[in-house]
Amino acid sequence: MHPLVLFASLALLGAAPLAAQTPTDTDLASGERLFESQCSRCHGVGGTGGVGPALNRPVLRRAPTDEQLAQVILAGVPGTAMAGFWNLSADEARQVAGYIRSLGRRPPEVIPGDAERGHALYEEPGRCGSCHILDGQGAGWAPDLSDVGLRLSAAQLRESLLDPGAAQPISPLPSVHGPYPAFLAVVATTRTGQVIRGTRVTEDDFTLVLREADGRLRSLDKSRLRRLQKIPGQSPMPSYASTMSADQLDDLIAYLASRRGTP
Amino acid sequence: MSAIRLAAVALAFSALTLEGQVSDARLRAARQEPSNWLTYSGDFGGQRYSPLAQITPLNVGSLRPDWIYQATEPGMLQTSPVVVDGVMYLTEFRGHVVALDARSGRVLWRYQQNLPAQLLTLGFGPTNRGVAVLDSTVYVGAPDARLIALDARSGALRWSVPVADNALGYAITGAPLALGDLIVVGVSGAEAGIRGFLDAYDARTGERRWRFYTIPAAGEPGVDTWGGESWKTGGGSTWVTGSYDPALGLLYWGVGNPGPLWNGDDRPGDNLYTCSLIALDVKTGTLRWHFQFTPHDTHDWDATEIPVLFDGRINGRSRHLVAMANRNGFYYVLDRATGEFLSGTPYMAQGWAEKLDATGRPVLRPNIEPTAAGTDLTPNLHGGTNWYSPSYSPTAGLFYVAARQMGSRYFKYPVSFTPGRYFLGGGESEFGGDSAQGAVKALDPLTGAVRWSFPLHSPPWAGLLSTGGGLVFGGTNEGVFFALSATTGRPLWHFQTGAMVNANPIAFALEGKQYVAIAAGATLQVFTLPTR
Repeated sequence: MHPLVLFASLALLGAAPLAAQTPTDTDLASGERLFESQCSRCHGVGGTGGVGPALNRPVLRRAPTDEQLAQVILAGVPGTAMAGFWNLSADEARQVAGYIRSLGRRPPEVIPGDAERGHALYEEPGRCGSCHILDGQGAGWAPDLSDVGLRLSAAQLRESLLDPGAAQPISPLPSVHGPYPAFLAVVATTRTGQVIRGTRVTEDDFTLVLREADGRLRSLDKSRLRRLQKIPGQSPMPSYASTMSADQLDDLIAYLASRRGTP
Repeated sequence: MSAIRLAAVALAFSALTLEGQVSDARLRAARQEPSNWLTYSGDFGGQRYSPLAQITPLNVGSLRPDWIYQATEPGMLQTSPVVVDGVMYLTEFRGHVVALDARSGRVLWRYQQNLPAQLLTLGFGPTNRGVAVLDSTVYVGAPDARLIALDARSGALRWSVPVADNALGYAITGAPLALGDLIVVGVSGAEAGIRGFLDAYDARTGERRWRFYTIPAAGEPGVDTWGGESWKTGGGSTWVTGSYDPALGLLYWGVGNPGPLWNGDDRPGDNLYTCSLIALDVKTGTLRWHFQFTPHDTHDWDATEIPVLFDGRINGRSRHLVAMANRNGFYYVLDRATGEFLSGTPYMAQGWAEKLDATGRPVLRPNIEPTAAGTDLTPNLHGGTNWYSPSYSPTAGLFYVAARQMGSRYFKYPVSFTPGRYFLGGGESEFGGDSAQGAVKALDPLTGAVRWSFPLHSPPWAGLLSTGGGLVFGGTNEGVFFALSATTGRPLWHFQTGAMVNANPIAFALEGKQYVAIAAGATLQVFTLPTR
């Protein structure tokens, strides 16, 4: 085939409308294989996230419909690291889209708590809002909770509240791509013996910026430190296992699960 | 400036830009004129060493940016500039060529590639790593697999020839190599199951003078290392610029991975000449010898690293050597006249080979093959190092490599071939974040023993330059351009460029003043000492 004809036919394939179909088991298996080989490097095995966003969510912001998801896979997202995978056929893109959708499909959850009481708990002085931001209100350096009900299941919300170190979000550092813990605990000891504690904001070979407990940023010259300790698995967020009753936890989870962003 | 001086300058300038400005004789003796950077690696030996000694460990602390060029085309620069008599030639993303006044960074001319809307660059993107210059012509490979010759004074097109069919996945990302009256250029595309080759073109006419297929065809020696018809889609790209020994008349070029990448079931055998170093007779393009680092590769460990040429005494005997810090994690030293294996030593942690045998062939560990469930192995597909350049300092007597320490889970799945499509048969999911690191390592060039190591926060994507002033320059993913002591590895200077460094440094001089240049993000940044 003449190269120009080949290009034209490929372009047509890419632009063809993608019929919404229920994926078969074969489709899902094939979609999973393609996903693991070509998507998981950025989006994590099982779509759990890494350099790219987690895809194991019921609603994807840039791709609310299956057709839009397949188009994002084929055409990419301009201005981001997401390149278009136009090497995939429309059928393969549909299989990958089907697999991604299956990752975010969760059975409807029965959440026993009372969202209104949970809201009151959330708003108590010195609680969540002193670190988190929600609908524009709060301190804002901990994860934004405005749409946390879309991102996390009730079980994941419970884990975040009970064992926040184990439920660390993973994100690129502002200085470099890669799946880094978003809130790595750091203890720096200066040459004069001063101990500075906080969570890592950004790092390169010569500098490290950390956030102290009050949210303030502090820039450190690594060559002037006597010791730099990194403590994985720790979170600046306290566990509420012993400070909240089971009912209070249920209420707070019900409130957070109801936070689904502004459309 | 007086009219007479102006006229004298004009005369000198016109004399410089006459036909034959950069002769083959100048290229062979590039080391004798350190104020210029005449080839991709600075010399035919691939050493990326500048004898310039004005910037030293004592004064490098005051090194500062002198000018910055902002690329017009969005996209990361991987270019290694060429500097000829005060003019710098570099490439932008998509292979556009720019000539700059090396003193000020002002644009002298620009050549814009005219590329098809549906460009096939499967597995690497339309990046470009630089130009070659010969006589008064600048040569560049285009991402759609054309070789282009431009007038060095104006950027006007002299000729453009198709090297291969981009619709099949062939592309050019590497800088061509000019030598004699030839332009040697390699291709990318093994991710699409091309059959790789290395080409040489007549520098004046663009006529092809020879082609060496890196995958032997039916009836040719080596085809028995491929099962059935698998040689037809065998990969073997030649996407990183090689080295050249004019005295031996041999060209040294690294060959990339086999196709399909992760699933080797349908290509039983060693799969020559993938993941090998080939030595070709430069006149005819015929194979003189080869050395395969990774037989039957299923981890994407291309041997497309820079072959570095130097001489040394091994077991009391003076040898012409070629060394390569290979993607598979081993540092190899070979006799460059014969290809004889002399030594191979891991320069970073690796989990796939017990050791190398007396011939340099790896003795494999069990359970290293990609599987449907995934196999964990170090290094990841990007290897212990990658395309970016190592450096060899004849003054320090050390070989420097920017090493990557990262593991990965390798997957395998069934695969079938469709021309112009990915031909992978699997994939990988790398173990990133804090578990992955890098280092600048200084190796004993004859044995590969690590003399010093400077740790890096994340596995690097930038090459190294060593200088006569006793420095090693390198860059980081976090955007730092830095200088280390060439003898101890101690950090002496660093500068935040504002974007990831994904390129190789060079050095040049203007009127006796030394400069160091590095691409970072979509900029080219040039540094010098303050004028006293």
